[in-house]
Amino acid sequence: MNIKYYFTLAWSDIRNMKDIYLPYGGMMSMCFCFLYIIAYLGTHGNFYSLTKGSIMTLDLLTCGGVILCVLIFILCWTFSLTIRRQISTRQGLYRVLGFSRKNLLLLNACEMIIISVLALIGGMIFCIVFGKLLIMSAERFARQTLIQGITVDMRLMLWISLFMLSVGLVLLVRDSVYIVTHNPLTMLRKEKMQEQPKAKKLTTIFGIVFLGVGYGISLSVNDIGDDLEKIVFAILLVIFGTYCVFKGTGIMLLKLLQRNEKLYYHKKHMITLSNLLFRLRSYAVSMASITILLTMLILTASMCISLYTGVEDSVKQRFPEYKFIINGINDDQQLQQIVKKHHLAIQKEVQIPVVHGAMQVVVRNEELWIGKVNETIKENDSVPALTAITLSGYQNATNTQVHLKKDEVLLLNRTSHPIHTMNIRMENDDHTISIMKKKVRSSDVDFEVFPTDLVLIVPDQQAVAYLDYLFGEYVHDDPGYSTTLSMYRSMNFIGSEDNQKALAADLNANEEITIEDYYTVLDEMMSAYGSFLFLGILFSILFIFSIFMILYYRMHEDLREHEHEYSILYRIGLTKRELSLESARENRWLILAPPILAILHCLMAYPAFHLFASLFGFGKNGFSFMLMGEGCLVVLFVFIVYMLLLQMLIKKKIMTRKV
Amino acid sequence: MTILALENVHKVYTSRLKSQHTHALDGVSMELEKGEFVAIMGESGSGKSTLLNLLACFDDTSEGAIYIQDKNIVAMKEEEKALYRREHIGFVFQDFSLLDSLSAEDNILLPCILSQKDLKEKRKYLQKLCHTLHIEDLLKRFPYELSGGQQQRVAIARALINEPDILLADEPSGALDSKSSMQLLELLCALQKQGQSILMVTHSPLAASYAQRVAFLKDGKIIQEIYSGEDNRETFYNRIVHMLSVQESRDLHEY
Ligand SMILES: Nc1ncnc2c1ncn2[C@@H]1O[C@H](COP(=O)(O)OP(=O)(O)O)[C@@H](O)[C@H]1O
Ligand SMILES: [Mg+2]
Repeated sequence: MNIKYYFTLAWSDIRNMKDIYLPYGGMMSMCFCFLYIIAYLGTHGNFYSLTKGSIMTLDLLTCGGVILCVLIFILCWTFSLTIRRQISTRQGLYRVLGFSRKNLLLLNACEMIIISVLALIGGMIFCIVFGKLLIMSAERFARQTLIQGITVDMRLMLWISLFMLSVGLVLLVRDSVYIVTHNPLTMLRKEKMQEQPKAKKLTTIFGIVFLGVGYGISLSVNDIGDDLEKIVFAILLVIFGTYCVFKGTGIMLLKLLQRNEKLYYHKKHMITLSNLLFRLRSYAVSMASITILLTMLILTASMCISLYTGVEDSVKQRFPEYKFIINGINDDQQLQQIVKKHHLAIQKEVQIPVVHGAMQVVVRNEELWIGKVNETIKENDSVPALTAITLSGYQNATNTQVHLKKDEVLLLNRTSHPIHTMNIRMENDDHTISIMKKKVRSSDVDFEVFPTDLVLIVPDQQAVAYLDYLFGEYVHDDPGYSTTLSMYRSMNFIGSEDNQKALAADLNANEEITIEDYYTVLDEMMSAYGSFLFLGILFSILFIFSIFMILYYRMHEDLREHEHEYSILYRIGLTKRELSLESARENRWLILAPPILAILHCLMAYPAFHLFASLFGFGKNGFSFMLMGEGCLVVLFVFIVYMLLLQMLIKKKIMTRKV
Repeated sequence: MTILALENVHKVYTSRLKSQHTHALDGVSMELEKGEFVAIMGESGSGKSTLLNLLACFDDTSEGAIYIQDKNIVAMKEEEKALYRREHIGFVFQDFSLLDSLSAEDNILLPCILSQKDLKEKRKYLQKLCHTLHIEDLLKRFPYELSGGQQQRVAIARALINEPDILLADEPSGALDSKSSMQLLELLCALQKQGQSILMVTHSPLAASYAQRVAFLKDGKIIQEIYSGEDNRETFYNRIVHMLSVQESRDLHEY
């Protein structure tokens, strides 16, 4: 036979079943487009020259690209399997009508080629249409220009096309094996559809055990960093467990219910239970997939949203009262000049003389050690950061009056260890070691100018001495030596936001001045998480789309396969109303089970999620819980709407159709 | 006692284009006595299935009236019809129409569970039915584990479990091999002897010969009826075949 004939036949087949091929091709096109955008950003962005978040962006993009490739493969595999189910009857018919195996393999290959080519063309069109939009949104999230204009990169397109084609090739091989190993009659028959599913004890037990252990691990996580491997393990367990639960535990449960005669032989239960049992076999995998996709969707989406909304909150928490903290300008005149230059005026200001900024110290047995402590650090010591300031600065900043005796210091302690004494380990000039003890009083006012775990407040007249104490060496005891302590100015300005940003940029550019300000920090954090957000949104779209596809194909099968059964029931004497109620009962379980299980997964993942959220400083006040809860509710709502819509569709179909 | 009566029943199918009309039934009138076994014969396309579907309320008539137990089912509402079908009519299909997801026993019990009958009593009746139909050993099996003949017997049990006034059968032996089909027809005879009214549609003279009366349907009209009377099956069969050949030769002339 002529090869052109195969292509014509394949094309007409595809056209005849366009309602199952179109979403499939669309999904492949979308995957192509996303992959292109990510790869384009990764190869064309000059990330090392970026002002903010340079390294993280590239790492995230690479990581996201790899995950996307894996995801694309899984999606194509799953959906082509669904399509396989729907077309094998037709292909079986071709065999019966006189196609040889070779003919059918050729036809199948032609179909795959047509689909792939169309998907690639679609993908390129997507890239042209949405590419600019996506990159613009990525730049918006990253708050900076990532690349100079987007052009068509033929080499990249070629690479991605090759990747997609190789995925297609794998699928083609799988389909070919299927065609070779199945005889035409089994293809023609709906495979094993009539047989009763067996409850597999092992799968059932695995399902419960996997889920239980996975949940247990997730609930026991204390630290994201340390327990990363454990978390990954738990995720894998939950994924496998979900499949087992639907394939084993669900069937087992239904069988148990069936064994209860009183319950089973009831008008409303008999058909529902037995049908659910049968439908679960073909749906178990897709239900489990929906559950997992939904879980990932809820977690990714709420993570993204919490990042987006939470970054600002957490930055605000860092600058509760003053938006600028400037160090290095000791001259008031100089400051006034700069402020004037940017059309701003000082609203309020606090000056705090600082002995030393953040440095590491040792806390051991409720005692604080400073000085030459590096060589004494043991395994169980905690080493928080400490800033030392003068008492007068503290009083200015907090509006309090405190008296310190000569051997006393004040300590603002944000660690969980109580501290009662301070030891200063000094190395004398002759290399002997002496230790001084000071009494520690706790500060009962918290002020956020210095974000270190410990803030040490020392009497003003000892400030210079403490410069030595902190380093454990006598350097400054020369009477002729005098030091001016550097001044931390916490200040707010009156003036437009743009002017304040300009001021911040100006001060940041000055080498002699260190400045921390609200605007720069917010900008930096946002841009650091910008790429994260962007990827999150791409993945969320992909998750939503694949869930939609699974539901779509399922609806397709539903409407076709149950026609026969409904017509039998109708002829036995069920009214059309009862029929649509019956289908509603079945669908309710099939549709709502995945989101409910997904919500359970999310709740169990909450502790880890919470820890992750608190890494960014917004795990407080139940904010992260609220976000995830809202995500769950939205998902549940959407599924209920879907259920009702499907119900309406089926009802309409039942009501209008003749026998 | 007349259990079923058709009065001048018409059925017109209108195609989707609203232009083509098919006159599937063209003024059919007939009666069925209680306990009678009647066969309706006709070629494919003559309107047999249409007639049965109307009797079973699967479809609405275009004209005419159908009385079952002196109740005009044409005038009934949709819900009423379903209820009536469930309680008073048993239907056997050519393709068996068993639910794959239910065991044979559950398939048989389904109609009484739907109409919320007392299950204990029905189980006793089920035993009796199964004995008549020789399916006692098959109850726990699922449809895919049964042969065609066995499936059809299960389907008959399902049709009879609610003790219907009349059993309608649309080519019940159409999909069976000749041995199973003979067995099945014997069973129908046995059921008739127990007092069951049966209306069977078929295109096979052999199947029709098991009935007490055969009505010939052609182009939506009943053109002739013959009674077996005192004849044994073989003579009745010959008469039916003769009727058909006369019919055919007449067609030949007209053509
Ligand atoms: N749903 C329908 N719509 C239109 N025409 C129909 C429909 N069902 C049957 N017919 C037509 O009615 C006629 C009788 O059909 P049917 O009763 O099925 O014949 P039989 O069962 O005797 O073979 C046929 O010409 C058929 O084409
Ligand atoms: Mg027919």
